[in-house]
Amino acid sequence: MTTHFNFSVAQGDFNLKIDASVNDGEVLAVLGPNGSGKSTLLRLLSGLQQIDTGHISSRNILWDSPADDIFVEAQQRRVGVVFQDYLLFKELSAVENVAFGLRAQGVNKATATEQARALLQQVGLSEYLHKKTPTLSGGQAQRVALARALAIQPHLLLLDEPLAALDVATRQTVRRDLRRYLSSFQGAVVLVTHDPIDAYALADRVLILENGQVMQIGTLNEVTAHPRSRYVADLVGTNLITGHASGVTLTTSTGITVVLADQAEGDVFAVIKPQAITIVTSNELTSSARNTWPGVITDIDRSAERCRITLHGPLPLVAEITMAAVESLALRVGDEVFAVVKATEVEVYPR
Amino acid sequence: MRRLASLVMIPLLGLTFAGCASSDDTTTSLRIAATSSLTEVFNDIGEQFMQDNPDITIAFNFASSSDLALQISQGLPADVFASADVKNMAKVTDAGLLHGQPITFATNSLEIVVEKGNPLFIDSLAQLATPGLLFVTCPIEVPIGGYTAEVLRNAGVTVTVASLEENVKGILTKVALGEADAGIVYRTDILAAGNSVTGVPIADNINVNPLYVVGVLQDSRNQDASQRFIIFLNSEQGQKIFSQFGFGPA
Amino acid sequence: MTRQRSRQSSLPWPMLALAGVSVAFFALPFAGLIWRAPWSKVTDILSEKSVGTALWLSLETSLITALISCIFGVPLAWLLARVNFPGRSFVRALATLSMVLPPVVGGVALFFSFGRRGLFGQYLNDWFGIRLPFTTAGVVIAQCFVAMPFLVLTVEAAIRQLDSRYEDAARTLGASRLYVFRRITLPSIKPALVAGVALAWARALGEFGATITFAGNLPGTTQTMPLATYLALESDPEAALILSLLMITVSFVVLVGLRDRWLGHQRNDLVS
Repeated sequence: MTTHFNFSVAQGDFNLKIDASVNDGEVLAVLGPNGSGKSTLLRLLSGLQQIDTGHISSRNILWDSPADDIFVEAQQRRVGVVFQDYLLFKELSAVENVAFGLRAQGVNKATATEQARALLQQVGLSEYLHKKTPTLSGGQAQRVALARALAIQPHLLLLDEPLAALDVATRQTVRRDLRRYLSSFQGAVVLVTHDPIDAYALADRVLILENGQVMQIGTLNEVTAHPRSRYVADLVGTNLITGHASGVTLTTSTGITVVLADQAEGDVFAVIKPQAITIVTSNELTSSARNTWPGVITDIDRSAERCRITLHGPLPLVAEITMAAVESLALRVGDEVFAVVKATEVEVYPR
Repeated sequence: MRRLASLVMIPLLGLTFAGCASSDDTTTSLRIAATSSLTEVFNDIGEQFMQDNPDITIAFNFASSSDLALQISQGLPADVFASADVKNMAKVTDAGLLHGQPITFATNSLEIVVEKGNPLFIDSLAQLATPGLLFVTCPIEVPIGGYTAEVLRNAGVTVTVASLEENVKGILTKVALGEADAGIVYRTDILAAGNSVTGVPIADNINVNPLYVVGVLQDSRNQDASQRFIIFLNSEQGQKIFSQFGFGPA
Repeated sequence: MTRQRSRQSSLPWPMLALAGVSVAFFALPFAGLIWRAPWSKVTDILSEKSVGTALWLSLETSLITALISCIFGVPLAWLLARVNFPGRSFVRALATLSMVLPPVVGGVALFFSFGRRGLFGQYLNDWFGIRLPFTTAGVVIAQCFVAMPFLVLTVEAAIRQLDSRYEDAARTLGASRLYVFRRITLPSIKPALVAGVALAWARALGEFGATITFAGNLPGTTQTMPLATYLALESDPEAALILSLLMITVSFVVLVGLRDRWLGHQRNDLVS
């Protein structure tokens, strides 16, 4: 069983156009920068907003299809939503929040409370049943929100930046727990996030949304191996070059040439992994490597085991070298250096 | 803050001066507090009076006699008070606020007021007792309320009252709109209301003739001009205007 | 949570001074009433049967007005705040028209609409034999006409300020719009609702112009306290003072009591 969505919607100058689907038991992460249309997508899927053209269907039931004059409102869809800042009802206790959906659908109080209690127990909150939600910690609130969304036994579960409101320390444990809960969930999951780590940890497939358009969709490996936009390349932390290939030479729009190991033709992308770049202080030392570009160091990031060097030059690059190399070359911000890359380290794929 | 204070002070001072500026060398400004049933006739009287006395300008303040009596006791700046009854004038006289004695200048009489065209064919006071008929009047304390009670007593009629209106205008409005069936008001009011209502005369032997009285207020700084106005009311010229509006002679 | 104690010196004194003037401005007329009231006659005047009748009628009609305003005003406020329909600003202006209309004119307008010769009232009269002028129901109509806008405006502003995402959240949980309104919206706007009801009630209690015009003035049927007080001003000014003070006392007790009961220690609403 699958949830399909293929639609477009206009909001002023902004157009959102998406064609994708997510299977039951699958987690689709929607990654994109701010303003890419992620939140609108969730509103459309949950039925809080209507599409202009196309359709949205879940398990072969049309939810939204302007052509057929069909629109199923939010309260009639089986969609559970975990909102970004959870939106727990502040005057209600944890168990009342979780029971809310059942009560709204006419389940009697005792049954609803019992089911809510069981769900909160599953997410490890049995001690907090009667706490007013404003007194809960961020991680606890997130789990109440999840339990509340799951209580209505949704066919589709939507998670809007489920970890963004948490501090870094709790984020990891909550992410791990979330992964466990999601794996036991039967329905389809759409997870909206701007953090690639969430996608790595939780998603089966990734949809890259930029400026209202689907840039890429596929498994995480597919997407990260062949980024098709600057945004994805930055997410993955790799160097993306766009240009035109002819023979073993790639020419960028700014006229820089890149030597390739294999023949290629036409408009292409090329990626160079930061680890594949060597930094030298003089270009006379170049040996078997065949690409050498000058640049000025604008940033040296020593936070990880390896240093990330940001180079500004005709071809902006990020290189990753060992701390020892940085020390021995005595690299400083503002130094003029050369980036050296073997032709075999330049991976080319068509645009 | 000093600037703020002066901003507040200037308008206050202005008000004070405006309140004092009652007269100058050439013209005298006369302030006349009069019962609202005199509105139309006094406007005509005033015009005539000012024509004859170019050195005097008149400003009227019309309200119910009882309101005016209360306001005068609270320091209403006025030169002359014209009341629709003796009782409210007495309040002012008793408080020592009147200069000399009040003078009668006009009389009135009462009529039954009914909806335009008299759809219920009311032609006597006795009919006002018809069950279901909506009769409106004023409280006894308001002059017209007292007179109405007197007339009904004279006729030996007991009516059911639907509402005790604030003043004569209240009775007229409700009858004119057809929301009330009948009331008893001054003859002059029915004349002034034109054809929005119809009047049914009341026989002279049971009718009452309210007196309109006028007097100069103690605090008036225009005693002379005030006296001239009061004399004009009772002059042949003045009385002619009153009779045009349906008032009887003093 | 610790509350920082604000020291006197940090308060902006021009604000304090102007606020002080406001307090004095409101307090002085009451002080004047108290000063001039004939205290020796209080028991005589208050024990008059007509006073009790008028007070009871006032309380009865103003409370019914508050209730009716609530029943009809809250849905109207919701409509104005939440539903984007053509002519919404026109409807809003319409609903608040009676606030700017002189009450007496409002009373005449009520005649033209609900009177026995009125646009709508004539059918009430001809078909059902229902007559509103000069009846207690007429008093309630007049009071509703002038008082309900206060509730509508207060509640509408509160609904507008609500974070509608909480209502969205409730809907995704399968709650119908009515259920959302009852369980989420209403509890969140409770303080504003209480304030709106109090305002409408106070306005209804003091209503004079529209009432005397449309409903007339008859002890026991349509003579409310403001009418009795105003008319007493002509016949017995001292009694009027006492009646005014009685009205002030009653409304003061109710308004202060209401605030403590409903808004006393409530610092925050459902959705902050």
